[in-house]
Amino acid sequence: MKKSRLFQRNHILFLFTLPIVIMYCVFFIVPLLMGMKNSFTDWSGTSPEYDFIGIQNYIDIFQDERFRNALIFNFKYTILLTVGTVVISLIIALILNQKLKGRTFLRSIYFLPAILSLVTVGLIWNELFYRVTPMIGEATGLKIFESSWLGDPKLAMYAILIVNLWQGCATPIVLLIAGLQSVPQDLYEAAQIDGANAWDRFKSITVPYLIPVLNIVIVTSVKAGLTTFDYIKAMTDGGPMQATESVGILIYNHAMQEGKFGYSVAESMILFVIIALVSVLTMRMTNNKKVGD
Amino acid sequence: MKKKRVLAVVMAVTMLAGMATGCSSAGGEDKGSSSGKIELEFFTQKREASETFDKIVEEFNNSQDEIIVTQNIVPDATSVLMSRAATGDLPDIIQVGGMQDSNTMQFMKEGHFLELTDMECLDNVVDEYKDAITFQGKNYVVPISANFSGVFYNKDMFEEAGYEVPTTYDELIDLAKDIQSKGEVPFLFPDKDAWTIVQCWEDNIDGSARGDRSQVYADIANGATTFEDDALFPETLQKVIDIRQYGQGDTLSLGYDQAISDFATGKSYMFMQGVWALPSIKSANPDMNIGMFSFPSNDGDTKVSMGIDVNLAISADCENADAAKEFVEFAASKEMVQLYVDNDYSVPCMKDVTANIPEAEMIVNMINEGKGALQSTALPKAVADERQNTIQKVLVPAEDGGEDISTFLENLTKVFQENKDEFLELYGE
Amino acid sequence: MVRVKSVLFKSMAYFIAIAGALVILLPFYITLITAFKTPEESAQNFFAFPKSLYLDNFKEVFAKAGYLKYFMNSVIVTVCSLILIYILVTMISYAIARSMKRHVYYKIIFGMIVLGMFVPFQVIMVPLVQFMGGLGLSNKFGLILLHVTYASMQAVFLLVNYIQNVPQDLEEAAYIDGCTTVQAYVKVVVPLLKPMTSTVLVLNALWIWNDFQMPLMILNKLPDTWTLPLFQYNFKSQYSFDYNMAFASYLIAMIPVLIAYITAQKHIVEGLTAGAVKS
Repeated sequence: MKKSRLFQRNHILFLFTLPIVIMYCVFFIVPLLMGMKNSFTDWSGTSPEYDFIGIQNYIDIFQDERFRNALIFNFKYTILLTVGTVVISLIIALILNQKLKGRTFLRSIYFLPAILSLVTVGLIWNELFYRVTPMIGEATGLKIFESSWLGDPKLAMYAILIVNLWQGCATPIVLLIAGLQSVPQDLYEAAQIDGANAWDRFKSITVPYLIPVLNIVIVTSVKAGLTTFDYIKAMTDGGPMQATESVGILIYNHAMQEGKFGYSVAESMILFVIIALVSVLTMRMTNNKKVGD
Repeated sequence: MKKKRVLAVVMAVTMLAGMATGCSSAGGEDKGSSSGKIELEFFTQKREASETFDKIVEEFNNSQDEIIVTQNIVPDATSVLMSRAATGDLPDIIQVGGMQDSNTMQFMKEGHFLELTDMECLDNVVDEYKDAITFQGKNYVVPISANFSGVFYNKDMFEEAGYEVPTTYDELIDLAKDIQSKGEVPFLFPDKDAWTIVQCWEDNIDGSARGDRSQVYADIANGATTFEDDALFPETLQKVIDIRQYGQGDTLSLGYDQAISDFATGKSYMFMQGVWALPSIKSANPDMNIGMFSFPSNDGDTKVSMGIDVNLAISADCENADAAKEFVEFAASKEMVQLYVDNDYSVPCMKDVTANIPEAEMIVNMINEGKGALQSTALPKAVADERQNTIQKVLVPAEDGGEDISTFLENLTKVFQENKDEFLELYGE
Repeated sequence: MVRVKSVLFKSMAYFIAIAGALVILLPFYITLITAFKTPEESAQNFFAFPKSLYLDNFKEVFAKAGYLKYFMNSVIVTVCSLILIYILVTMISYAIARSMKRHVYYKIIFGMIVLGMFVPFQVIMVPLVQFMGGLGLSNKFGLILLHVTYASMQAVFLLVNYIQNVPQDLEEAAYIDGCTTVQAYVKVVVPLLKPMTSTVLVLNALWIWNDFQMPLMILNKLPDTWTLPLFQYNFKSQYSFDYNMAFASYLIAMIPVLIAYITAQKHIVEGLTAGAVKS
């Protein structure tokens, strides 16, 4: 009796997986395999005929300076984005967790950017950079604000980063505030009686409680950084002088504009491997830290 | 275990069947063939002309009752068209750029367009343009209108300052210096959008000095010359750089749309662009008094660089090719071309149709005097892409990662040599 | 001394919080004022408050483009996708979480689905479009299926981790009371998962509502079925100039989301955080 119930339960659980598994295979695995095949061809994306050229695309990519520059850009950007997201969200979350007047109102403001579409955000900021930066420059006399950062090959990345953080911090802030509220207050009080200072309390009480949230925040930022595409597309399209050409943008340009489809798929395969490696590493690192709690 | 597998198969089949019925009903819905009429999709890529196209489509749909054409204009049209070509699903009728456009050439070369050589409307094409629309002796596109490049100027500001339209390059520079000495801005350059720099060089400065580029490209392909050794390219590119001293300062941070908004509100005296910017400028400021002149050459022997702007093509896979041809014939009729050019401020490609562009009267007169040069040769796609990707470098000092002119031109020659077969195959030796 | 320090700290906190809030609000202010100006007016002074309430931008957006149609399309696509995600993704996540240790099949599908998170969209884009066209699914229905599939990657990852931490006692009690697996799942498990399912639903609602690339690739042939982001972006392309109208259209597109956010703010924030923080 009991055995047949269990048997039946296993069946039901198996059935539970089917809809998504089938959809996943049809709409993801099959196109993925079809796409991977293209990475071994010289298909332009539109030509009726193409040849299989083995791993030539992959060999070429490793010698391609443009790809290397894009990759370097991605790594720099990812590190800055992750650090920026964690630091800014944490500071704001800590502040909004204080007993401030109007903090509920402030919290709802900080989440606002998350509801906008990337296209809108990019276009609005484009305009802001062009109109506002020179005004700051005039007011402060600082050379760095003389002109829009989006037009400066050295500063364009930071401009994009600012916009990405503007929107990207919204969800982490909300998550971190919730994390902070899960810390039992009596722990702080006990620590205060023991004479621990604010930094000690933060380090040994707050941080351990925040680890699960920080884990999510870091993994999502790393992934967002490595695949960054939309913000750049909406603001600089990779320019000026390809200074903000991320791998995502490069792949898109090769596939959709420059008629190198096979090549672009090979590039995305490499990006896929890199993202998978980095993400697994980050998860390992943050998970190990959890042992402390 | 075995039972489980059977079950899985059954489930999978039911799911797929469900999907198949789901899609067949949905598929029937989007064709909408219930009316019994032939439905055609007309894919356009020029947003500022979409209302004019709508008028033409409406006239066509009312003129007969077998065919219904629907205009489809999408965001990011180039990418969408590429992905639809990739998936073998091109729209029935496509509005594409001229033969100087590498994308158009790529589609034509790869056989995506239906041959239209025997279409009647082609007989009516202005004689000088006939060669420019022929590809290896055959026709795949029907030209509707052409555009030209030049310098827009704010007539009121010119008048107030007592300026005349310059006729030589030196006069233009003197004029710019004078404007600048008063603390005002002579030119706006939207260099954030790299295509505008290419346009400024290739069409505006080089095109008005050289005229047709076919010969020099052929010479480069054959190794007879190079970009850096050509008599004009280094000089005209140098002018592109020199003239930026008279720009708004930080040229790399201004975008095309922002520049139009700024020019329309009197932030500068002049603005170098193609005539396609005119509808936008007028929409930003309907009361503005605008004029346009061709970029003056050294000795005043200025030409007008032109290109075909709107071409109509039919997909090689179009199921209703005859109906599509009927629409193209209609759209290329005198009345419709007149309607189009009147609304779009462009130059007609058909005989007995007149251009009505009071703002650019000077240039239209030059074209009528035979000084127009229609560009019809496309660079290999890789060269065009490399040029657009790297041209911003010549505007930036070397210490910030910029390049000097000769490095830039040598690199273009190198890429051209690597891809010269593609060029020679299309245009012959 | 301590008092002074704490006052100083408090004012610093206020200062940063308010300065940050202003930075957050500035772009919203720009959108608002630009939408109410004429092109000339905003070219003269980009930041000034509009001199009069110029409503033609809105009139034209509404008249020209059939805004309501696109709005409804967005609603249909988002709501249908969310319902399917709610039902199907919870099911598979539960099955994986409870059976992962029992059978390798569940381990494999879990690994494969999570790996999907790392594949750049560009690899699959063209084959996917081709494939969807072949199946006759280049329509709203196909778009919904795609959203569900691609939402499942992150959602399964989040839900499985969450379910593994939910104790099995309650389920077992339900079995002892004579519930079938399905009954126990619906009555006991689903309510227990509410915190994480709401997190998943809020994240995906934001993503699906604002998604641009997928609808562009799937729906470009059928303008009548477009979603709001496509309609918005169409106001803005390389050779176009509908600047103030574009901002009016952004504002109009923002308003439903803003209203939804303001009315359901508490639930959204709670939903978002419920699953992420173990209580």
